Amino acid sequence: MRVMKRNPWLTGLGTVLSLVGMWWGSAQGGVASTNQTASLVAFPKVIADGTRDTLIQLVNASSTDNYQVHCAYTNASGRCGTLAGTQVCTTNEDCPTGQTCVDIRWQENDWDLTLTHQQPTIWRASTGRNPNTGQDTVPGQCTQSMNTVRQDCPGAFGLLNSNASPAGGDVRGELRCWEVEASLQPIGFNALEGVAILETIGTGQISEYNGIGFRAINVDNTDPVLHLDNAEYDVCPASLQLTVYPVGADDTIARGFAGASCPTAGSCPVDTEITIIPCSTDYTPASDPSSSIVQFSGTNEFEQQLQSQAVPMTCYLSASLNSPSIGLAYPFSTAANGSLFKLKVRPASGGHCNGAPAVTCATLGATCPNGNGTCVPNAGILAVAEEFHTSANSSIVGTAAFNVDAIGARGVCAVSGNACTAASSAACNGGSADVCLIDSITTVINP
Amino acid sequence: MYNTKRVGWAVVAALPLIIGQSHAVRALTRSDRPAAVVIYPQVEACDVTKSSICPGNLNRDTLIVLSNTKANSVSVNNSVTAHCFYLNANSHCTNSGNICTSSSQCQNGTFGSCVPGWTETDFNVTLTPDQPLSWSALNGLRKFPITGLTCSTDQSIKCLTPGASCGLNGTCGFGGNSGSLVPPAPEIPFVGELKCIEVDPATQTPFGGDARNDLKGEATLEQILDNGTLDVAKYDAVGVIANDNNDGNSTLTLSMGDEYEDCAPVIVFDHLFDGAVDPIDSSNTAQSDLTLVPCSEDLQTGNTGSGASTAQFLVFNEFEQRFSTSRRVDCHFNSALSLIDTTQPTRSIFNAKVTGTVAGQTRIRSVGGGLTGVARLSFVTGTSTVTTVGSAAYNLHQDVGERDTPDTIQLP
Repeated sequence: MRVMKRNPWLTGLGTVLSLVGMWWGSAQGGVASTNQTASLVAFPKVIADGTRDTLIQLVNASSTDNYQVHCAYTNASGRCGTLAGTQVCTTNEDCPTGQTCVDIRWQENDWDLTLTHQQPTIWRASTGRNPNTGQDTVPGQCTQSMNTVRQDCPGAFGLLNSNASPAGGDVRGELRCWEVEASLQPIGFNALEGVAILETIGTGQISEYNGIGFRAINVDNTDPVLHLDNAEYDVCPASLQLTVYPVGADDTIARGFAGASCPTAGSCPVDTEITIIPCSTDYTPASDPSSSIVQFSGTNEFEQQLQSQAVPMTCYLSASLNSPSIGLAYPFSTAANGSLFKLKVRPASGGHCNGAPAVTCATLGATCPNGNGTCVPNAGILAVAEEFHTSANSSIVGTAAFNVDAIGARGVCAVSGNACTAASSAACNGGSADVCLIDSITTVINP
Repeated sequence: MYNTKRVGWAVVAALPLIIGQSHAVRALTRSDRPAAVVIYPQVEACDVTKSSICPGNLNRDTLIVLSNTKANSVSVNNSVTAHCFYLNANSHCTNSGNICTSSSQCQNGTFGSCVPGWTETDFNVTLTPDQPLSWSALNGLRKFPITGLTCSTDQSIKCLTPGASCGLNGTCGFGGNSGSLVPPAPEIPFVGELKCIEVDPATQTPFGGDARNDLKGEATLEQILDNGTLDVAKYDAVGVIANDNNDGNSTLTLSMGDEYEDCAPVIVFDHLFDGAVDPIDSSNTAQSDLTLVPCSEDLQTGNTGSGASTAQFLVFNEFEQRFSTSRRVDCHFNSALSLIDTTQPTRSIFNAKVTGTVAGQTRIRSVGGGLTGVARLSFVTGTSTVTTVGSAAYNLHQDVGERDTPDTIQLP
């Protein structure tokens, strides 16, 4: 019998190659971006509620490889007034006076599709799309399928499980898609990118924004948790920044033209809606939705610094800047002077009580009073914004969505500020409150 | 004795850890974070009361927003000066000098050709810490919010010493927006680009040494439709990131690891094909336009050839079928999608009548100088008379990687 001897040289070579690979990956982390291909793409604002709908375009940018993609909607909508209410809402401000938004379930709806190399694809959120090879479809057009709510569109659309690519009823929520193997274990080849097109039905008015991409760095495909910690995937930004019209301000361009669109001050106001989702989410059944306490602050062109109260959010927050949910009517209004604000949005310092997510707390890890559990970190946040421009002589409101800017990076310890990852909590050596501020997405490998 | 089988297994064992890692060579322009150079690839303006050739006979303008992302400091002057350049890409008749879009507009008794132009108009804007400023391309900006030395919480209170306390009124600033002036767009109609570069106000060149990435920009393209609707399309300015080794001279080198990061080797443009029916409202069809501008620019001599390149387009539909074409980009390229490769849109490889699907992916590789740009999707109705009902602008994606040759921006 031939005896196999270990060869130290070969063993060493394999070790060196492994270490090189791990270093190469770990040394190249970054912050989520809207400009490049990624392994995980998030669309914070998806609407399919009868008045607006959303087209999702997802692309495999790889020139050689086909990929399976797992997608999951989270529907954050409820009903106004009662469980049987017909009006969709996410906050009380969406409802008529006297009604509150009830039955918000944060319902998750997932499916898989395959994208061949270089393949683009598109679907409508409210209807989804049938799997097909493009036969019996109309060139350049999606048509209503005869027996289902879904559309038939030309193109090879590889829907792998027939469960649901429709968003699942009236939806105001988010969508995330990530690369997986056939077993649904995550993989990281950074080939995905996407855009979302929001349309106001019956008007042709559209808004478009880029999906927010997290590049894979060193994916552990034995673990269903996607760590957004600059070791496995890119981190979330530390804060977000956008420039907005203050509440009550007129459209600057329309005011500049003599005409009926904006004849007098106050006749062509611009409303800005911000949509915020937590970076972290947990798709396991019956899990609690992620929460955060969000802080808004701003500077106008007169350098006046303004700060609002902290705003609690769970799972999804989409509201106008002047809505009570955000509370920016003042001082972020024209009454306080100025025609432009640079708005910063970030998770508030400290944390929230995990037994009562709307309750703030200062010391991470400490016990919250009144039986409200433990003080846990506020989740990182992602966002998009959308402007609504009203004209004095048209009932149609012009819309424009835009991505917000990422400032700084999470993946640091709360007290010491040291860089940290999911696997390296030893870096947070500043006491029990020195928690690693990272985010994660818990997926389900065996649904 | 050398054992190839064992070497092979060793390599195979290590391969999964190497392949599939993000190569994450991040030399890219960025539209989602502050930068040292911000590029607004598409700026347009027209007033129908001042011009008879406004596209679609619609009033349109661009709201430019430029922000300083440096925070306020009591002791350090965190104001930022941006040296900005409007690049006018209008074509003009050789005989009359009038703005034109085709040579047929130049036949007024004498023979004339419609020749593309590229002229620059530059100006300075100084932004105080954290300050956002906005102006319209049509009107520019003459009156700035902070002039001279004023107290931070009450601009009506003047002060004498930068950084000194103003008591209850904050601290004394460092000079406000003094020295700033934004001219209106040089022509009506105007189509072109705006480029703003963070500079040392004393030398009008970038600061030497450490990277300064403090500028952030957005643009809102707005047109007033026939029915009075304010149709708005917003995009983020494309940012060129500075590195820590700037030599502070007037030649900006864009190359990974050099003074500034370079433009991406491949732009990835996700779009609907022209003529595709809107899956939400079948009365609308899609019409997109693409704007590309060179990353290299000679702003000293106005040499349009300095950044010229050939854009190679690889187009993929949802059947994985591939088409290709190319176009030269000299200074400012703006085209309807289905006019990139032909004058007959229904025969274009960017048209749904040819490709057959609704969605497409176009990969744009530049041969020569680097490119960047933005796109705009419009929904239109009608066939013989086409009417825009809505539009949306968006930034392009990029493939990570490094260009073979650096780009340069030469300042005056």
